[in-house]
Amino acid sequence: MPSETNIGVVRGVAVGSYGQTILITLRDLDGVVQDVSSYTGTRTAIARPPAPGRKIVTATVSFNSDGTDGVVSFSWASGDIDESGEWELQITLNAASARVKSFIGRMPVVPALQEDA
Amino acid sequence: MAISFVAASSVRVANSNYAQLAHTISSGSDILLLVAIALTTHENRVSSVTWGGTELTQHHEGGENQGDKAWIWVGTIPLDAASGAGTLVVTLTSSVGRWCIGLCEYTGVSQAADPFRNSAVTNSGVNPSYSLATATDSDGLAVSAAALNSGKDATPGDTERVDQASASPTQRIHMMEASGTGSPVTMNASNFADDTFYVWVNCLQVPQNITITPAQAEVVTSASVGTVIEGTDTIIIGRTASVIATARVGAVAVIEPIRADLIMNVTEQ
Amino acid sequence: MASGITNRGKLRLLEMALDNTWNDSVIDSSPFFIALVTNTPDADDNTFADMTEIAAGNGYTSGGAEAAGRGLGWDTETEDDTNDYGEFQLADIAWTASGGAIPSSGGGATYAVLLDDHATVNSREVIAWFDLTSARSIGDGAQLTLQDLAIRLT
Repeated sequence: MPSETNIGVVRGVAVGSYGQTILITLRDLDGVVQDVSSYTGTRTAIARPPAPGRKIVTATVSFNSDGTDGVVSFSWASGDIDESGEWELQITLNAASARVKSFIGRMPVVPALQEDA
Repeated sequence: MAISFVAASSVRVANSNYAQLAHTISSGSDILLLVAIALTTHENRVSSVTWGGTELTQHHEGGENQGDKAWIWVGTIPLDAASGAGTLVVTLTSSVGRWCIGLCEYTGVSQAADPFRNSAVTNSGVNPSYSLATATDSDGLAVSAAALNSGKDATPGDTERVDQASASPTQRIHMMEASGTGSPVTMNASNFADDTFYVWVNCLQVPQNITITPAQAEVVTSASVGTVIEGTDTIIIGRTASVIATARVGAVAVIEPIRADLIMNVTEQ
Repeated sequence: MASGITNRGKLRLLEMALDNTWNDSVIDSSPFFIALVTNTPDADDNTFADMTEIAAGNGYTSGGAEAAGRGLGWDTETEDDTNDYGEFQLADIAWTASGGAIPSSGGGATYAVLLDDHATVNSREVIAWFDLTSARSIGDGAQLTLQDLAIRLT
C-alpha cells in the first residue's frame, strides 16, 4: 500500500530550488504500479503556482528505468519554482494513439528563510 | 731512456757577491741543470740562483765546521726540451773573497721538482779521503759535488765533470758522478792534498712512471612513485606515470530524489 | 617499502648503456675514448668542446686514447649487494711519452674524461670525468697509467 502521506502529494520542493530529481510512481486507486512503458511520446510534468493568473511551469518527464515499474522522473529548472505555497502538479504521458494524465496532485512549496542571492 | 751527461761549465769568482756563468743547452729532452757553488764560509750565503730568470730549487746547503773552510750549495732546474744559450746568475748575501760555481747539464732526468731518488748523503772532515755510499736505481746516476779548500782529481771509479779552482788561497769545486749499477755505490775521493772538504752525494732518477687509480664516477639513483590518487577506480603506475585514473570525485554528493506517488489509471484492474 | 632499483638492475642498465649488451649479448661495438684535460668538468658539461684538452704530441693524440679490451674495454663488472651498487671498470689506459714530455707544453692533466667516438673530436660527448688529484705530467720515456676508471650506480 502506498504511504498515505505521499499519495498525491509531492513534498520537499522549496521556493528557489531546482535540479533535484523528482521520482513519481504512478499507481492506480488500488495502489498497483502502472506499467507506462508504452508511453514513449512526449511526457510532461505540469505545475501551477498558487497565485491566481500565474503561468504554469513544465518539465520533461523520463522513465526512471523503462517505465514498466511506473516510475518517472523530472526536475525543475532554475527559476521555475519562484513562490511558496500550494502548487498543483499533473503528469501527462503520450503514446502513438493515446494520452493519459494523472490525477492532480499537490506540491506544497516550502518558503525560504532568506532570499537567494 | 738513460741519464746522460751532456756538458759542464764552471767559473771562479773573486771579491764579489755576484757572478754570472754562461752555458749553452744542447738539444735534448728531460734536461736538468745541476749547479754547485763552493764558498769559504757559511757566513756569506747564497741568496739567489737563477737560470733564465727562474730560481733554481735548492737541494742542499752545508759545510765543514772546522775553521769555515768549505761550504757548498746544491740546486737544480728542470728544462724539459729547452735549448740555446743561457746564463746562470748567482747572488750572495755579501761579498766573498774566493768562490767557485760548477754547472752540469744532463738529459733523460725526471722533470719533477725533486729529481733525486734518495736523500742526500754528506760528509766532511779534514782527512784527505772519504768514502760514501748511496743506493741507486739501476737506471739512475749517482752524482756528487764537493767544496774543498784545495784538492786533486777524484780516484778512478768516479767520473769528474767539474774541477774548478779559485785563485790562491785555493777554493775548489768538484762535481763527479758514478754509474749506478745497484746499491750501494761508493763515491771515493782520495788524494785530496789538503785538509777540509765538504761533499754532497745523491742519485738522479729517470722520468718516473705515474700510475693513478681515480675515484669512480658515481651516480646516485633512485626511483619514486608518481602521484597516488586514491579512489574507487584508480590505477597507480610508477615514476613514468601516465596515470590512468578515473577518480570518483566525492565533492558532488548524490542527492536523494524526492519521491511521491500520483494516481494514474492506465492498466486494467 | 620505498621504491628503488635493484643492484642487478643497476648492472643491467650499465651493461646496456656502456657495454651495448644485455646479459652479455652484444648489440653494438662502438668504442669509448679517454682524454686528458686541464679544466674542471662538471655534470652540466655536454661535449668535448666544453673541455680544455692538454697539449697533444709525444705520444698523446688529441681526442684521447681509445678504450680497448674485452667488448668495449670494460673488463670488470661488479654487482655489490653489501654496499648496494653496480659498477663497470675500464681496462687500464696508458700513455708513454716519446720524444718529449706529455703534455708537450702547458699545464699537466688534472682530469681524465670518458668520451664517445664521434668522428669530430670536439663533438664527442662527455660521459664521465675522473679526478687525477693533481696536475700530472710525465717525462720522455715515462708512462702515465690510469687504472680502474669506473662508472658506478649506487
